[in-house]
Amino acid sequence: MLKKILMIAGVCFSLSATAQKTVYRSYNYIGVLAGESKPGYQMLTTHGLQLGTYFVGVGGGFDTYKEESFPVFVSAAKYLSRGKNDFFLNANAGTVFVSKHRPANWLGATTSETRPGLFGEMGLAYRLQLHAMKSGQGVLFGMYYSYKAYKEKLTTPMFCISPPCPNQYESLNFYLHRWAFKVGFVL
Amino acid sequence: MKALTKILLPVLAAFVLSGCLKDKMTRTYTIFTPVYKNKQDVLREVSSKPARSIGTPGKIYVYGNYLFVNEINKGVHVIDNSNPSNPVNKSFINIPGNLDIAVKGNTLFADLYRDMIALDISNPLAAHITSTSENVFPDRNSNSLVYFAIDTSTYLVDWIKKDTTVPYSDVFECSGCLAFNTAATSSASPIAGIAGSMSRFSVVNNYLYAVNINSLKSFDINNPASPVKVNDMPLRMGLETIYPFADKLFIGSTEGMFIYDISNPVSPHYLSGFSHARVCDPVITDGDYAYVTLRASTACGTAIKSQLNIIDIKQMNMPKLVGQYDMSNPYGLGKDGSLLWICDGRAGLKMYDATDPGAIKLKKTVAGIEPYDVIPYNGKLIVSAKEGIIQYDYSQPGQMTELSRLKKN
Repeated sequence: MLKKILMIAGVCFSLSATAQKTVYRSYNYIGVLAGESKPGYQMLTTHGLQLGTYFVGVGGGFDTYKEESFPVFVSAAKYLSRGKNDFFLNANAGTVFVSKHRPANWLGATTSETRPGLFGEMGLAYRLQLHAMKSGQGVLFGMYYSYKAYKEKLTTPMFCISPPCPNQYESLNFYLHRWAFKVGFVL
Repeated sequence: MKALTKILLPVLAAFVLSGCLKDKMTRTYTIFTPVYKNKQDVLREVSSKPARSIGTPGKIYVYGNYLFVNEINKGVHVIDNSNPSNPVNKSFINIPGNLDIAVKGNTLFADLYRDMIALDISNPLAAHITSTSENVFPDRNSNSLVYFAIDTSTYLVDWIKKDTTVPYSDVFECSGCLAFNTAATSSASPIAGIAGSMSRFSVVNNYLYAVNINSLKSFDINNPASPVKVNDMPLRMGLETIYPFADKLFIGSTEGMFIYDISNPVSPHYLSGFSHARVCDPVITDGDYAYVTLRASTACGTAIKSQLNIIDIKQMNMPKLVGQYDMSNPYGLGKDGSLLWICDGRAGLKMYDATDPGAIKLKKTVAGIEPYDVIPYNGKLIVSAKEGIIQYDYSQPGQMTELSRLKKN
């Protein structure tokens, strides 16, 4: 029994000690997205906890590459050193909701419906702590590979001699690869 | 300067490297491959079978105490409707590829893929073909708007569907394209029988009129067992329905409603037309007004609003719009006296008081069914719906009482 109590106490102590080092951080970026299609822009905000050189959090934002869309993701980062100005690796993974408002009867389709797809980013960023900033805060510069995918489902009623006529379905699948250059700040 | 370089260098790199990344876009669609069957084999399949439950009901036709219900692409249910509260399914006539029917005397006229057959139904349990008119509906050699020239010894009976994915480019956006593997109720004037408003067949005295997508065909049926084609008039594309009233034919098309004079039954003569946006539309008339439902659907046109149009035809050569009413997804319609019924798809069956065509009033909506066509007849309403064949009594003012329901299996 005593052994169990000591173990629980140990775990609690350890967690308490860990909690003391955990810091809330908010990473906020704007970025330029360059790929095969017309360049787009991105605004992302990520909120989470930093523990030592590690950061985990959740984020969301706005992405205009190809189609306006709203990524939602989990984010993880690892600082390569402990200093005022550090490089860190960062990865985001989640889903993206596309906001597409097709005109009625666009390309002959009665309805056009976009379906969420995958969103993912991986890159290297640099935190630069300016004089007025507190420890851990800083201006950010990063370069990422960024991926966005979604589907657009088009429904078109087929002509038939004896209605109700069946619908014809067609899907357009978009798998978009781009480079993202980002600037921002961490608080 | 050094800091600026640090910032601009990655931006420059991003744009230079952007050429290395390629977006991938694909389009997944369905390829339709035609399936052919030997014509003689298909004709041999035409025969009477024991009554069977209704599967996918299509067009309906009333002849005396009998109700004929098309089972889409399969045949015709023969129903003894002497007692609408208890209709009795008598037999099923197997007619592959059948969509439309009309009856005169003991002869049932039916389409069989692209041909039209006449069947002797004096004994519905032993119906047999008396004649075949070839290539009356050449549009049945197509799926959508692409025609297939096929061997006259075969029928195009089905399509094999297979999904395929190909690279897609924004430049060639071709949604809605199909890909092919090229390897009224005439309560006022009952004539032979009564067809629903969605019918493409109409029997007027000794003539049978049929429309396919771009022509009006006239058949002499003085001898119903052997219809003789006497005229084949090319008309505009998009013909859909045909509705007889007195010595006139009202033709519904995707572009409008057309009135033809058939006082010379062999040669229908164009009287007038009323154009509207491209939509799907059946038409009925009570002699003073024509009632047209416009179903907005890209299969028929580009209009985005479904409507009921009421057109004053007291002067047949000068049709005039007197009323427009928004609808949900209308198909067939029927009228008896001042009552007007609209099959409004998923929005249900609607009954209107159409005493004043300029201001019709909704009296009742039967929700929970998806009606397709309707025939009002002697205070009884016969409805072909997704749910089966439903009959109502509307003899009491403002009331519709369900009498019976032949449910689909």
